[in-house]
Amino acid sequence: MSLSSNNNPARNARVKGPARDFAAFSETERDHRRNADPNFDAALYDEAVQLVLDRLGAFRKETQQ
Amino acid sequence: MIIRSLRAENVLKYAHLALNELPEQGLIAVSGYNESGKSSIGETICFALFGRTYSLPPEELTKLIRWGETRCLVAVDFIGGDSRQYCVERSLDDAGNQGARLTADDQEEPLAHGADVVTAEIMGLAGFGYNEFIESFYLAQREIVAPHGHSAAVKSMAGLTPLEYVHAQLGEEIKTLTDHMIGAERDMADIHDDLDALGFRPDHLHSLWADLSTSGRQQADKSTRARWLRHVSEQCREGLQLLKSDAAPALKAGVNTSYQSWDAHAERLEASAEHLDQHCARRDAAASAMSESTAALKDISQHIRSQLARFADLKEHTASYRAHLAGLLDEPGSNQAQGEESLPARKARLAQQVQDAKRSRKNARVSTLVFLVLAAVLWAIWALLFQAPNAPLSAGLVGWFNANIPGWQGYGLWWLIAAGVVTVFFTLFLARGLILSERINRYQTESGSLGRRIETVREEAAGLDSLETAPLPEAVEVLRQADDEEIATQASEFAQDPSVTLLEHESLNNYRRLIESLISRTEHDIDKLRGEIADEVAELEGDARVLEDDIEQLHREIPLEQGRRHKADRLRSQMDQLQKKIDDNRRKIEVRNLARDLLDDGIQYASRRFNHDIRNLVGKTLPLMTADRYEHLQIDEALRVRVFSGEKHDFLNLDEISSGTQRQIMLAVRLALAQKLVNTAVDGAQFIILDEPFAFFDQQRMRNSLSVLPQLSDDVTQVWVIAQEIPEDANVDLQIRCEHSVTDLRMDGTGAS
Repeated sequence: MSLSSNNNPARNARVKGPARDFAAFSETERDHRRNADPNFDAALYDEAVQLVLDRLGAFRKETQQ
Repeated sequence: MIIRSLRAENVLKYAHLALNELPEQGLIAVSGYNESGKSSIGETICFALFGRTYSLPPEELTKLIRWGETRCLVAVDFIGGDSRQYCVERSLDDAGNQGARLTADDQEEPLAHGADVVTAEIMGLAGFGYNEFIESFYLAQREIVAPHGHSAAVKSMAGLTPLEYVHAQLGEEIKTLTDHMIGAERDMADIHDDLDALGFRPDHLHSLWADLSTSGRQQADKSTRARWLRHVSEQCREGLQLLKSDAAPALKAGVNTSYQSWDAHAERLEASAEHLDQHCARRDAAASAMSESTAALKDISQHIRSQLARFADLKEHTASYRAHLAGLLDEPGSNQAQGEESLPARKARLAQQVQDAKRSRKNARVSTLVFLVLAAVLWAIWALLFQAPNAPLSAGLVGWFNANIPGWQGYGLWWLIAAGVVTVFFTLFLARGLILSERINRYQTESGSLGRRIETVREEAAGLDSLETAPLPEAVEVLRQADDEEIATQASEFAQDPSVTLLEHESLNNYRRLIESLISRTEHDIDKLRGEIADEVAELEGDARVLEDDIEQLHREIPLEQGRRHKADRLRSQMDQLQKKIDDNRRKIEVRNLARDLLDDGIQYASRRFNHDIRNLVGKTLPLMTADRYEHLQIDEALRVRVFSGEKHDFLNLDEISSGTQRQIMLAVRLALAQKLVNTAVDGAQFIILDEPFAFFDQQRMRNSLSVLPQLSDDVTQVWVIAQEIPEDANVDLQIRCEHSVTDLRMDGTGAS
């Protein structure tokens, strides 16, 4: 028996993991919020998501240096 | 990362430490009694990789140097996640100065120099840093407890660190943006106050421009009217002078004044009255009185001119008659009617006829004389020869005839006939001479009559020619005397017409008095008019000066208002910019709040997912290490652990189970964290160092754990286990035995020293 996960996408893009995971989460959350809120502001949401992803990318670059 | 070899000098208790050709996978057991230098191996590896150790705080790192030495050296060969072989070398002196170098086997030049740079490079190659290392791959000698769920390392392993970093960063930005927005709103309020204090009214400048335009226009209008009125006044004065000047000849005119002069006088009088009327009467109602006097003057002049026009008509009617006279007189340029002979021509022709008649009469008289003589001779000869041939007087003649003309006696009849014929001729010529004399007399009479006629016609023509220049009564008389009944009749009617006043002395005097009266009245009206004009001009100039003052005031006010407007525009522009900034900040805050909200949810989501993964990983490890006595865990967000006991069919807190089991569970949790870190951040195979993981383990549990450890993960293949004692039957790939007295430890993968 092994602890390792054979299907682990983070293995191929380790440093991008948090950003990638957040992108996946935000995509799911986007659908959830859109379905829940008739006044859902998609542009605002996308801008917020993109801001987080940009900052996560910057954080990744900083921590790599 | 797999450790291939470890070399050190003067590190902790070791003067020399050399572990070469270490197995890349399997169990590496480090055993020995207390203070035999077991943990020094793990500390050496930790220092080589990250420049620090777990047991020594950074400020006491020099204690890493072997007692009595001033400097230590460490070198670790390892295989990176990219399968390349690297060597990290690090040194430390007793002053705390650290040096480091990272090289790769396949590259001559070092990859990095300097302690911090090498550490950072190692982190890049390993995929984790010191904190993650000590929470996962390096279980240092200590009380094994559950890692704190909010520790930086765990958060890093869970992937929360970047999210929380960004969350905090956005929070700071929101705070900054909020401060900026508050500042901008404060500035906006200040600017608004400034704008209110400025008292700028948006339409005021336009109103000032409109006032300036209106005042300028009114001032120009009034100035223009004043100039025009002065001009009118001057023209009235000049017009009056002109009227007087032009009226003077008319006032002096009398019965001796010619038509031409009257016409000129009347024309000038009317023109000057008209001029006065046009230039003075234009000034509104003030000139109405003057207009009446000038109108009366014009009426008089027009009356004169109407009389003159009637005379002119008469004069025009004489044109054909004058042309007829010209034709009669055969004047140059006249058109003689066809077949009509002029009087001079007729007179000349008569003179010529007289001359011709005289010449014919002379010829007739000569012929009469010749035939008279000849007839007398013939008659005498006939009488002597044929009537009294014997008479004494006839003897000589008969004798001559006889001598010269024989047979002359037979020609008596013929001689008689000849004498008769000559006599007839004589008579004829005599009669002709008489007739011609009669004709000459008649011609001469006619010529004299014609001469008088010509003189009369000439006088008449001269009279007609001087109709314009002759005194008008004389000119009318000339017409009345014209040898043209129609003209004479019309002239008589004109002369006898009571409305014609230019022919009589008394009526002319009446005219003069009337004209003088009207001129005097006009002069009075013009004086009055000029006085009114002067008053109006003074009023207009006063108004213009007031308007000019207003304009000057506006010229002073407008730049000030423009300045206020410019300042207001600038303030508004600043307000717009501030509002834009506020809106922009508000939008940014909104975006960041939403981003933080998403990050909160994302962190919660990642945390739950991390716990879920850890629980699953522990759930796989724990049964192996506890011989299936414990299988399930509950791990909350703080990584607090509860374990499910199959025997008690319930979850138990850690303090409800034995210390050995607690250590097993915590070891399982640590291994799960290590596996999680491998899963999320590490490429390739990974080593793990477990320093005294089996304290409180009984022998059986230790054997179980040692047998299980190499099988726990496909990724964590090189397992370092540091323990006081390793069971002899344990299946280890390399056994490193540390002795208390050994300070120089050298060993290769075969275990040979």
